[in-house]
Amino acid sequence: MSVDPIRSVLIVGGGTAGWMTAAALSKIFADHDLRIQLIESEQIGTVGVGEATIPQILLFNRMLGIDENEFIKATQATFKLGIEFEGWRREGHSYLHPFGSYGSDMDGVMFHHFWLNARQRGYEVELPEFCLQVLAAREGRFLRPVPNAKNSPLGHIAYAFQFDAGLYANYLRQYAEARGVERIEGRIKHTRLDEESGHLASVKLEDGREFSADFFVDCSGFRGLLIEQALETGYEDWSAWLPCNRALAVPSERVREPDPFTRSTARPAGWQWHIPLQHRTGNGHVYCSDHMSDDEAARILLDNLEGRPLRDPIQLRFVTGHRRKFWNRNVLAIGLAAGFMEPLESTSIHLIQSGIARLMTLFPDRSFNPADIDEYNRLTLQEYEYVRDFLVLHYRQTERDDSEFWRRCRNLPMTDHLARKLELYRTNGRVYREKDELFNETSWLAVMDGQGVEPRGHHPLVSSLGDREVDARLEQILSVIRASADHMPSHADFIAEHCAAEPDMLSETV
Amino acid sequence: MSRPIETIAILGSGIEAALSAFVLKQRTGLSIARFAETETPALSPVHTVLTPSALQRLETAGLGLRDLLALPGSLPSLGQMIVTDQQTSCNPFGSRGIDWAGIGFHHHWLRARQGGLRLPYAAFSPAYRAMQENRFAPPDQRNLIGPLQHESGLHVHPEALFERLVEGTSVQPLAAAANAVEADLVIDARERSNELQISAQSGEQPFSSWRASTTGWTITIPLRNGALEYPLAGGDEDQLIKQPWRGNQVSIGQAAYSGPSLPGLAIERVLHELDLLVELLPDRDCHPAETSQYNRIWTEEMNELRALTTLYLGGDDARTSERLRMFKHRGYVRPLDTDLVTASDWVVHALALDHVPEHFDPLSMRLDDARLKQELGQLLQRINVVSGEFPPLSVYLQAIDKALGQSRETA
Repeated sequence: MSVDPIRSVLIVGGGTAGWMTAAALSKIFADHDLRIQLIESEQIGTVGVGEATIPQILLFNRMLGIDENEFIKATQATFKLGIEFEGWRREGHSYLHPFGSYGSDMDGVMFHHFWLNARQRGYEVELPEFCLQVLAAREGRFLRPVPNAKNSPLGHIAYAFQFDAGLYANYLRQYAEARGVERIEGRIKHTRLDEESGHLASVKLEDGREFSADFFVDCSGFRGLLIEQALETGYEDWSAWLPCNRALAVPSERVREPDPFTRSTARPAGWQWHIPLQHRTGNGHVYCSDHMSDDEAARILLDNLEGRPLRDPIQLRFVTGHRRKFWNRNVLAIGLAAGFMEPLESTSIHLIQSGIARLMTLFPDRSFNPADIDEYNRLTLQEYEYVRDFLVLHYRQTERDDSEFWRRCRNLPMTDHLARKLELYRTNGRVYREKDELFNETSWLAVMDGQGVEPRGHHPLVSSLGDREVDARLEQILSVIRASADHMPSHADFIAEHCAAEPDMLSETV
Repeated sequence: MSRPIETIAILGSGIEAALSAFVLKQRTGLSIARFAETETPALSPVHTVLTPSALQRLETAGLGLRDLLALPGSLPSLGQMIVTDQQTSCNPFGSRGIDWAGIGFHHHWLRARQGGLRLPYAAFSPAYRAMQENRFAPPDQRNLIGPLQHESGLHVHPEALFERLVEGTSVQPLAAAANAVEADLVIDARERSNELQISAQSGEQPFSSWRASTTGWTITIPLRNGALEYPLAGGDEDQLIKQPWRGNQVSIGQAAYSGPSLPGLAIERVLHELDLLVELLPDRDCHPAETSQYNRIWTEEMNELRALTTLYLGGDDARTSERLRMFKHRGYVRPLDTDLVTASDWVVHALALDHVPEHFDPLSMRLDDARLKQELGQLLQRINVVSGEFPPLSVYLQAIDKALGQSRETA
C-alpha cells in the first residue's frame, strides 16, 4: 500500500467535468477512506457545449454501472452513428465520418485498398456505401449491435450518444451524491498556497467557509480557478493551427424526428453544429473573430435553425490550446480548465473521460511523485496533439476558396505527424494509427476521403487478385451491407421502443 | 497508377534468409529468388526458440504447429527458468491471473505479497507448476480457467527448421555477389556465422534455462535429441542500422540490427519485420513516405527490444532505466508504441528478475482484503486443478508421436 495515501479530494466546479470526475472517484473509491467534496455555485452557468460524444463514452458509463436506457431517458439522449460534414470539402458536398468501419479487411489488407483498386479502374460506387453506419445514418435507422452476430456487420455497430450535457451532469450528480460525494454550494473567493511546498492548501468561499484537501481537481472551466489563477501554470496557444476563437450556442425547438448523427455545416468563417436530442436541438456556431463579427455570426446561426430558438444565443470566447501542465503540484485540471479544442469531432467529453482514466492509472499518494505527474502530463499532451492534428486535417484539406477564412485554412501549418499521415495516404492509400491515438484508421480514412485526398495507388497485393475477383468481392460486401441496413429499424422507433423520455420531462427541461 | 513489384531477391544463407523467402512467397505470391553467400547454411542457436507469438505468425504464413512439431528434435516449451545466484524463477509464456477491477493483476499480487503472500507472480499461471513437475499441455479454453490460459512455444532444431523452410518454397540457393543481384526489391538477410553445437546431456524439459554468469547468461535449450547451449552477452557488436530500408533494399534481422537478442525474440523479430514489410509492400517506385514509415516503426520496435534485452544484460540504456524506475516505484509501465515488446512483457520480465515495485496501484483496493484473498484462493485452486491435469511431458510427446505417425526413435 502507498505509504501516505490521499485522504481527501476537492473538486472545484460542477458541470460535466466536475460531476464526471466525482462520479468516477465515488465509484472507484467506494468503501474507502477517501473524502470527496465538490464545490459549485448555482449562480455560475455551465458551458454545456459537449452534447455530442464518441463511442468511448460507453466505456465510461459501463464503468459506472449505468443502465443505458435509464441514462438515455434521463438525459434526453439520442443515438449517434457519426458526424456529417456538410460543405467542408466544397459547397454542396457532404460526407459522414462514421463510427463503424468500411467493408471487411481481406488477406491481411485493409478493405479500402480493394475499393481503391476498383476505383482506379473506373468503379463508381463511393467508399461510404460500404459502411453500415453511413447507410443507417442516411436513412435514419438505428440498432444496437446484435449479440452472437460476429460474422455480420450487425454484430459490430459502434455508436455514441447525443445528450443534454446539463441533464447528464445532474444525472451524475445524483449518482455521485448517492455514493457519498459531498456537494458544497458556494463561490470561491480566495485560494491559499502552502508556503513551504507551494501546493494548494485550501479554498475560501465568499461566505467565509474554508475547505482544504490533499488533492484538488480543477473543473472550473476556462478560468482555471486553481490551475491558472492560483498556480499560474501558463497556457499554450494553438491558434496558429486552429484559428476559431468564438462560439455561439442556442437550443431550438425540435421540428422532426432526430437524426442518428451530428451535423457540422461549414460557414464563411467557421462552422455550425446541429445536435438533435429527444426534447430539442442543440445548435452552435464556431467562428473566427478575425473574419466575422459577433452580430454576423449570430445572424447566420439564427437564420439556419430548423426550429424556433428557445432562448437568446450565449457566447463563448476561447483560445484553442492547453495548460502548460495539466497536472501541477497537487492540482489536476480536467475539462475546459485543462484546455480547449473546438467540438468539431465531439472530443470535449472524451477528453474529460480520458483525463479521469489517466488519473486513475496514476492516482497519487501525498508525496506527489514528480515522475507520475510528468507521465500524466506527457500522455495528456500527446492525446491533445493527436486530436489537434485530426481537427486541422478538416480545415487544411478543403477545396473552398470562397472566403478569406477558408483561404487561410488551406495554408494552415501542419505538424510532421499530420504531414506524414497525408503523404502515406496520398502515396498508396496507407492509413496508420499511432498506438495511443484516439482516432483510428477508419476515422482518418473517412475524413481524408471525405475531404477529397486522392491516393495515387493502393496496396500492391490487391492487384495480384485480378480485377474480376476484386469486383466480385466488392459486390458481395455491398450486398451484405445493404441487407444489414434494411434489417435496422428507424432511429425514432428504436427510441420509442426502448428509451423514450417521459413526455412530462420534455416540457420541464426545454 | 502504381507499378507493382514482380521480383524479390533475398540475400543470405541462414534461417533468416530462408524464413524471409518462405514468408514472402506465401504472403505475396511474388517471384522470390534467394542468393546464398555460402553453400552450407549459416545456422545459429538463437533461432531455436519459437515463442507463442512467433508460432502464430508462422501459422499465418502457412507453417502450422503440426508441421513444426513433426520436425526432428522439436520440443514444446512453456517458457524459461531463470537461475541467478540469488534465486531460481519460472517465467512462463502468457499472462498471469485476472485483471480484476480493471487493474493489472500484478498490482493485486503485489498487494497480497505485502500482506504476506509467499507465492511468486508466475505461480498464477498453470505453466508454473507444470514447469517444475516436467509436465506439459497446450492451452485449452474448455478447462476450468477458460480464457486465463498459459501459452506454449516450441524449441526447434535450427537445421530442421531451415530444411523445412527451404523445402516449403521453390527457392534454390545460388551463389552471387550482392551487388550483382537484380530485382524490384532486394532483402538483405545475411547473418553472422555461429557455432551450432548440440550438447549431449540434457533431459527433456518443457522450458529453456537461463543461467546468470559473470559475463552474461548461459542459455540452454533442450530439444528431443540433446540440447543447444550458447552464451548471451552484451558487447560492442550492438550495431543498429538507422535506416534498414533505403531505396529498393531492405535489411532484415541481424543484417539490420546485430545486437544480442533474448531467446525467442530473434525469430519473432524477423517475422515481425516481414509482417511490416508486407503491410508496406512497395510498388517499384519505393516511395520515401512508405520507406520512412517502415524505418520509423522499425526503429521504435528495435529500441524497445534493445531496452528489454538490456534489462538482462545490463548496460546503459535510458529507456531501460526509465521503464525500471517507474515500474519499481508503482508497478507502472507506460503504454508502448510497439508490437514486439508490450507493457506486460516488461512486467513479466522485471518480476522474473526480482524487480519488485515498492507500491501497488491504490485502485487495487477496489477489492477489499477479504475479497482479494477469496479471489486469489479460488483462482489458485482452479489453476492447480488445471495444471494437475497436465500429463508428464514424456506422455505428451508419445501422444504427439502417435498423432503424427512417428515413433520416438525415428524422431
